[in-house]
Amino acid sequence: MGSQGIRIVTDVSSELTKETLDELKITLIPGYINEGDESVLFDGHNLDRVRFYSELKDKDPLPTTAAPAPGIVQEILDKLSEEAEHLVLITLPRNLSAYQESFRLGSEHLPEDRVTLIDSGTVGSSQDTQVLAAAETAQAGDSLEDVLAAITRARSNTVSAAALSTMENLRRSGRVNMAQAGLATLLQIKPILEVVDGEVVTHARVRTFRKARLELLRMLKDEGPFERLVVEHANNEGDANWLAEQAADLVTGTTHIGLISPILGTHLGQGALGYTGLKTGWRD
Amino acid sequence: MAGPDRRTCDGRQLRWLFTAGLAWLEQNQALVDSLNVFPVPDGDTGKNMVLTLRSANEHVKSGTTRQAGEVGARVAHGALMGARGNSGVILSQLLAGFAGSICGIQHFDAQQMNHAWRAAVDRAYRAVTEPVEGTILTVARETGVALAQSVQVEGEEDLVVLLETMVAAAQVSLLHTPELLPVLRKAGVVDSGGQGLVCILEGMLRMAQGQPVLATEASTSRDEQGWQHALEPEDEEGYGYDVQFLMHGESMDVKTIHDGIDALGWSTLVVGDERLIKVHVHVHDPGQPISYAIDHCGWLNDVVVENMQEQYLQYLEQRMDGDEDEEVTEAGDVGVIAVAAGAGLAHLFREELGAAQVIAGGQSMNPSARDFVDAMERLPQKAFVLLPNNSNILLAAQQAADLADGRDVRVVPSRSIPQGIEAMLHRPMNMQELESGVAAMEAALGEVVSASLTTATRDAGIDGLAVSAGQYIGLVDGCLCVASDALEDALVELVQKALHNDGELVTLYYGEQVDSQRAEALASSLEESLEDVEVELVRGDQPLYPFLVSVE
Repeated sequence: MGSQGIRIVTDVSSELTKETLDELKITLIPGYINEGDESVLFDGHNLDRVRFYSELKDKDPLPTTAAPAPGIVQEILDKLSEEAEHLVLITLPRNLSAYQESFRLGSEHLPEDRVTLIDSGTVGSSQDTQVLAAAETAQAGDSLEDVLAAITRARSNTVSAAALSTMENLRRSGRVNMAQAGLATLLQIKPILEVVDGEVVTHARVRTFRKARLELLRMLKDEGPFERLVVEHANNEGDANWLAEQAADLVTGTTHIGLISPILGTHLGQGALGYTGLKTGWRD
Repeated sequence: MAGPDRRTCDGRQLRWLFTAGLAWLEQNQALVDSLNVFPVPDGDTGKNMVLTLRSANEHVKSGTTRQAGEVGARVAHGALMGARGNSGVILSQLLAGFAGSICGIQHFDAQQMNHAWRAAVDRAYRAVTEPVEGTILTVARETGVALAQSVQVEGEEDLVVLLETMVAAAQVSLLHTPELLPVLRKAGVVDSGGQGLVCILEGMLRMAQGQPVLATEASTSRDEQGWQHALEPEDEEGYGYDVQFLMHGESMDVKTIHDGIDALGWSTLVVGDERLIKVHVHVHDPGQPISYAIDHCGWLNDVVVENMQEQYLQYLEQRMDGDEDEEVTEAGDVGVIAVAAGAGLAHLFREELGAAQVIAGGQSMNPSARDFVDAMERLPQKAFVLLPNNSNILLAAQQAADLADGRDVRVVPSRSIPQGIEAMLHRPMNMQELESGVAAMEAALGEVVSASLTTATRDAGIDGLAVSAGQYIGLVDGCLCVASDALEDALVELVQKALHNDGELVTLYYGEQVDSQRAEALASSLEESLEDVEVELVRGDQPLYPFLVSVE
């Protein structure tokens, strides 16, 4: 296929900056954040993330999230498909959200050979490594097969985890079976979670956030070195900076520190700290 | 609804019905939200369905068209643009299917409504990659089955009567969703999306029957009282019996029999021909329809009578117990057997931390090796980790491990309850491999400092401390280091001794002699006296020890 024509589309769990999105011609499809009677169509940038998290802990009920309506997806894809020969859609896993269904219903009017929908099996900055790999490959003028292969390689070479400072948001999100995840306890626990093939898995349960932080670092040391490291947080800059500093030796490329997308953060709670590492040599 | 004969529905009437469906769903949004699979307060199915329909409503409320097809198309477009959440998306597909079927039609009749509903259900099923039964899909489909029977078999043409049939079928289908979807059964709820669809249909029926759909006292209280109230039978005599049978005979008249049966109860379905008729009806006296049938046919068979009131009460009970019934998480194929005394600690180990079994015991009541072996024999696992949680029980646990023929057993030598809890927390979530799991649990033992507070049973001088009988005494990692006449002083001193340099979390497990108010007061005054240390209070119910303490 003509290489110029492949464009990458993803969702607003992405933490990529506007500059990166523009440079690599990546399109974000907005999603809803509902709060009380209000429903905001979040486009990735129209919410002050710092403020969102600082207010989050006092909110009852918590903001909820919802996938975009298929009609919205369809409108955006229609415009894009005028400029591109093929669209590669990378979005949140089916088990955790309705994004897959919305993207599928919003794209099924396009001919099959013009759109590919991918279940990333993961979320947020971990999904971003697949998006970046796809966009870079597409921009280099490679074929659809190459783009899809790059996504697979990025996926199998990405590690990520997050430590929660509170379990309240996760519990109330209703998206995780707390008993199955080993989190149905009144004890104060700072769980360390991973998303593995679309499932939320508890990696460890520690009692204090200091121990959680140390465990994240230990996990990074086990998995490094990394070409790209993202340390992400929900208003926990102090711990994020600490983790990035401690892991500096493990990074052969770039390190980014950023705020988790509210789409995910409302389920993780204020204070969460996580990382995504794309392993050095992932292209081989 | 509909023309004077109630046999057709035009665009204006469809718009009213739709608005009524939305209004009734809005009234009941909190109820739909509360039907969450997990016992959490923030369900959002109701909200997502309301938002989806509001978007649809925006697209029709200003229109003046009287063509049903066009109103349908606008509703469908609006829903497609505003759909959110799984149930919202499915709802938008139902509306799209319905609208597609009545496209171009000025006003639809019973046959066309039946076709349109079937198209709606087909489209919704196709829209979902892996359709799951026991959801809004099932409710929509079974509603369609009842509608089709009424239209095609009984020849019903009155749209209001058909809507009544649909609402009744949807309600019954909804009640059965927990049977189809284990996750609902476990949580003790009906499907929230299905409930949303029932509310929409109910709103439409209310409008068609001239009942109010906007906020009334009755509907508001239904919101507040939540699901229990919503499920209460409307009939004072309760849900009654579900009666089904087959009538065999010659030259039976289906219509006459339908009317005869229908006069005895509700939710009536009578289908068949002059030789064989299937009857389904809900009644308070199951004898009546059976007697009636016997008088009107040759013979009966496949008679099934189910007590719906009992099913409802069982469901209610199950739902009330929902939290307690939650299955204990079991870590793979390795079972953990822990020793603990007190209901609070037993609950913590078993229900919250996932031990396969808790053996009652502790400092004053040491379980024997036999107790461990008995516990293992009662459990299905073949590999076990034993957590003695007391130094006096270590040997018995070790002995039990040696005695356990044909089982793979390891002892993680926890010497205190806090160590046992720490070991449980560090157990790998999917512990199928014994060795690595045991290593992780053993490594965790050093993560906490354990302390305990009890009363001296006699005068003594130990570890350089003079103690008199009846005094509160405190031990840190097995060494006596505190003696005091006052519980509060003893606790504060004990915690200070147990706090090491980087300790940041103190957990107090309070025993059966301490009531929860006293424990809370002690915990908060302790927290105030300590800088940068969090104090957590957990009910332990252990005997003899007012407090067990862990510091990390």
